[in-house]
Amino acid sequence: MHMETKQDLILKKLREIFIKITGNQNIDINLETNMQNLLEWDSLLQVILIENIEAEFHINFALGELEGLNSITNIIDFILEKTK
Amino acid sequence: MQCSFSKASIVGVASCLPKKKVALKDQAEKLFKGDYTRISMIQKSLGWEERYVVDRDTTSLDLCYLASNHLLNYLKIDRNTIDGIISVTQTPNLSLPGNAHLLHQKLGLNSSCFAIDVLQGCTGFIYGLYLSFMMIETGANNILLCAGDTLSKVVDQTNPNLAPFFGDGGSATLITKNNSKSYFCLHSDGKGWEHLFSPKEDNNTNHGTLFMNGTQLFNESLKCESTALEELLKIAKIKVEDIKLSIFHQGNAYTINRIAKKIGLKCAPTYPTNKYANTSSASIPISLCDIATTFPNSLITNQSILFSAFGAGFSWANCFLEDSSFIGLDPIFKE
Repeated sequence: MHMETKQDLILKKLREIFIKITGNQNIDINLETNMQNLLEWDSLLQVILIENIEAEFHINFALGELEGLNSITNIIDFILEKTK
Repeated sequence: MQCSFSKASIVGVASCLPKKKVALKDQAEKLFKGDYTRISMIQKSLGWEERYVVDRDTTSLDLCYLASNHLLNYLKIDRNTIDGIISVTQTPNLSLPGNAHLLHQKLGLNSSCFAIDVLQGCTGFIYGLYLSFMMIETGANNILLCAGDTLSKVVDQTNPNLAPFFGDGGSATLITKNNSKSYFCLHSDGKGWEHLFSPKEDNNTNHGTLFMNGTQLFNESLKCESTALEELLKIAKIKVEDIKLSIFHQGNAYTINRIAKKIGLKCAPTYPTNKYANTSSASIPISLCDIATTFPNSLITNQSILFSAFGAGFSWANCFLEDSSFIGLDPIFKE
């Protein structure tokens, strides 16, 4: 039986956030997703995404960290670090 | 660059908007394929709701002229006492001469009044204010600062990432000799120019040419602004709680709230983008007119005011006016 890791759980929540903010139920969010390969992930979505991630995970990104939030793996790493 | 002045202050501000108002929800089908979820997210997170846009024939000169005329008439200023007119715009009527000279003529100013132009965007009002204050300190008595843009004419109106962001507006601010303290911190980083620019117009591409890398602007403004604001507090020798009124020209509400939180701002920051979108250099004076309507007789009295802006260049500018009193006229609308 596959045990869900913390990374899996974060990815699942990120998927839910992306569905909520894009309105696209079929959006494909996986560990390979980044700003370059996901059409919907533009600069407007980026601001909305950051705000929703901060609210969902009860974290705050430092100003210098925002530039790194450009791929799902980076976002997961930041969340894991901040929720240790 | 940091500096302070002690002999100049704002007397009055007026603004002029085009009559046509466009709400974000009105463009649901055209820009967002009917995705109301996204529109509501944009309104909530970014604070954009509506904007005013000009028709084909209206220019930034028209809006600034109407605002200037309104202000000078209201204040009953003898136009012969104006020593200089500064126009700040990135959407002038002609390549040359600049709008300052065209306004000089339309307003009937005399030849002892100089006219200069400043090609500056979102930070333009603060830069214009800095120049005006400097000129007063060096001998001028009255300076008329006209800041306005019609960016809707250079923005692709079918691009959902750009169109809702930019509106049009014009303003006029009269600055005069007066014992009043003010502090400025002005910054630029030319390496950032390629993230927000519009190429020189030619006959084939005179519309829809503005390019914006929104993510980069968002990251840079957050990084630069909070540091610059802390620098301003230091040179003005004030605490953040001394700021009673703050107007932020930033791309969105989220950025402003982050900056305000980072510096611990106590008063609620005002941002023009929710009602007027990004009107470039006109946004701070338009906001001042808007805020003035909440004061008795539209007189903003004894307020310690912060102006903050970030934009093309990159350029970022912050200014603190100590114990400032002036009138902000209700915005007028061009038919």
